[in-house]
Amino acid sequence: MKNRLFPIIIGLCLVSLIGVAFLRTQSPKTEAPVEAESVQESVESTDMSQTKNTARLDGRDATPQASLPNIDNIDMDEYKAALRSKDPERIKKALGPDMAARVDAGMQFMEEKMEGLEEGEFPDFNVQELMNIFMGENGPKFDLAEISQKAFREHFPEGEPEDYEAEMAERIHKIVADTPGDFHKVMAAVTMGFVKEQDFQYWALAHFKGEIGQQMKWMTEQILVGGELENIQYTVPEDMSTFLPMLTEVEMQGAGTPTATPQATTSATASAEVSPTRSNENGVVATEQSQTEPPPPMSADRVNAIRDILSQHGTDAGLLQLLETDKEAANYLLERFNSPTEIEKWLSKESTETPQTKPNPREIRPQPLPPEIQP
Amino acid sequence: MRGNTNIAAMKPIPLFLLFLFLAFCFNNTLGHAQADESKAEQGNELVDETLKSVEDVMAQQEKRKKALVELVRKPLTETQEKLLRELLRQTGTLDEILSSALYLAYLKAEAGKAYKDFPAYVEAMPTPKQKTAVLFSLKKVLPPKTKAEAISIGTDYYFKLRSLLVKEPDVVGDMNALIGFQTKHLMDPLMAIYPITELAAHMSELTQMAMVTNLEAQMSTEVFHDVWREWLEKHGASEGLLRCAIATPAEFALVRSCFEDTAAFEKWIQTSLKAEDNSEKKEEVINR
Repeated sequence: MKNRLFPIIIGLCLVSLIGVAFLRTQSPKTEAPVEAESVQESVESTDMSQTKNTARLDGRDATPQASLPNIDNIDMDEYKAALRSKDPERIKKALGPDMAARVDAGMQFMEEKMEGLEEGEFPDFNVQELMNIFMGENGPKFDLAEISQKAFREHFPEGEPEDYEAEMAERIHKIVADTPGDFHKVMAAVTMGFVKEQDFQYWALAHFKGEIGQQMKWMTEQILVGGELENIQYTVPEDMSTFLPMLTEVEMQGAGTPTATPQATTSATASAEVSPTRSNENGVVATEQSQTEPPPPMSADRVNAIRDILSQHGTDAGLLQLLETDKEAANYLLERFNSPTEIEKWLSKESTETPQTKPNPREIRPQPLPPEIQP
Repeated sequence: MRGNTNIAAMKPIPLFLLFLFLAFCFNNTLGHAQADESKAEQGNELVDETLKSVEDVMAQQEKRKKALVELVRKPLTETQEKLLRELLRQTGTLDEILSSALYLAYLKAEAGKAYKDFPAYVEAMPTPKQKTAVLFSLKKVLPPKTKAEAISIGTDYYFKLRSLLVKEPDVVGDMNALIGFQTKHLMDPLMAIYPITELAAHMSELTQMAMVTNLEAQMSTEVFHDVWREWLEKHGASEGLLRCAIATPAEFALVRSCFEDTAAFEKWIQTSLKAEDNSEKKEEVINR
């Protein structure tokens, strides 16, 4: 299986779902049974007493959901160790027989979809089908069509997905025009463009209905068309196995040599969305700055201006204002201080010296969040 | 008939996806155990980073919850007890009592700002001080490279989710609604601030942001609710509410701001957020 588009697709599914999925998740080590509200057939009333209409979902009842694998029974330490071992059999063993069976079913599904494909050919893979396998017949509903249709309508109040195909194709052509490099690089830029631009993404979901293969095929065609418009003849590689590294490589190149990724700043669609919130006071679009770069040094005048704002509005309101109006200044403060109290101490100093940059100001520490949020 | 959706039931999904993500990244799928470590190295790091972020959050969650419970359960100080006794002597609605000079003076000392009455304080929710407290708390648990703008988005989302969890507790059972809410208020704004070429590198950060904000919003809502509920049961509604307002004035006002009136707020406190065994309901669910 050489087509490495799947890690991206699965990874993005993970990012989208994981936060929600963990919403009702307790720590795996918790001794208390995990409980959650059941879904109401329909919301007939906003009466709070509805919350009493709940069922235990810790695997000890007979509700349809109880037929799902219960991760509270999984030894998370063993699961993590198994994941790190990269041994599929060990991972399946750690997941337990129920979940392992679903993994097998998912893998079998994928293998069937991959059968008979030429190298580099996109499989006819539907996200909904895969999710259905994970959920099981009696499992919770994951309705990709409903989600994507709602999202599409929110972004496109009028018309149907096909009405926007030409516009979306043009966006790809624009990315192609702005992205130097071979097919790999252009495909990486287009794929991440889909991810970044929500209307683009929702249009694709509604248009292709989760058929990833069709979507990728269409994107490939549009890249080739875009290339022709620019007099570039792309060669679609037979092996897409370097696609995932390419995605991260593009980012790394962008950090080191900003001109290597002009699509980030010159794409009309991307820049239109990013510029209003990413320009610093010098008018430099910040899209080309790597997140790993140290913050630029501040002049004494700039620091004094920040202090003035904080003094004038108060530390809290001042910081919030800077977050709105001067993101560079806000980053400067968050890089250097770990609490409003520290900022206040800094403000109370007569000196206008810039504070020393802490070597690791964002060290992860177990700390209550929020402790008792005082006003 | 609508399908049964439940967040608790969704818990296995990230594990499945993690597995698939890992398996594909390493080109090490079942029946296709071919290794190409050099090409997969960067994907490897991406998986490790994402997985580690999940581990970090999960490992710290229970500790934070314990610490928060301990903090909220702290008994009233002598000064607070005295204030409580004095407030109990007053007559009127809760808003009127909390708008008394005594409580407003206490509030000024606690909040660092004077409010003309308690409803004005509720109206100001969440205050800048609350926002920056959450901002710095998020900063401490997110990767060092997370930019202020992203943390600010997470902070806004945290308060929006707090409000949603209080106003519409049933939403936790509606996967589609939650995905929509999270997409609109967290993922869309986050996606908007990162260049397309940086998104892959920020996957771990985005995952962590979603997990941390969701978990913390739910934890705070539940911890304060549970403790307040106990106080109301133990001391009665009048004294219980005053105790809540004195012990945790900011949280009290924040949650109160989600309701039209004190009666609805009080009812919310007195209603269990936890799932309870209900055989009739269970049968209904089974029959669906």
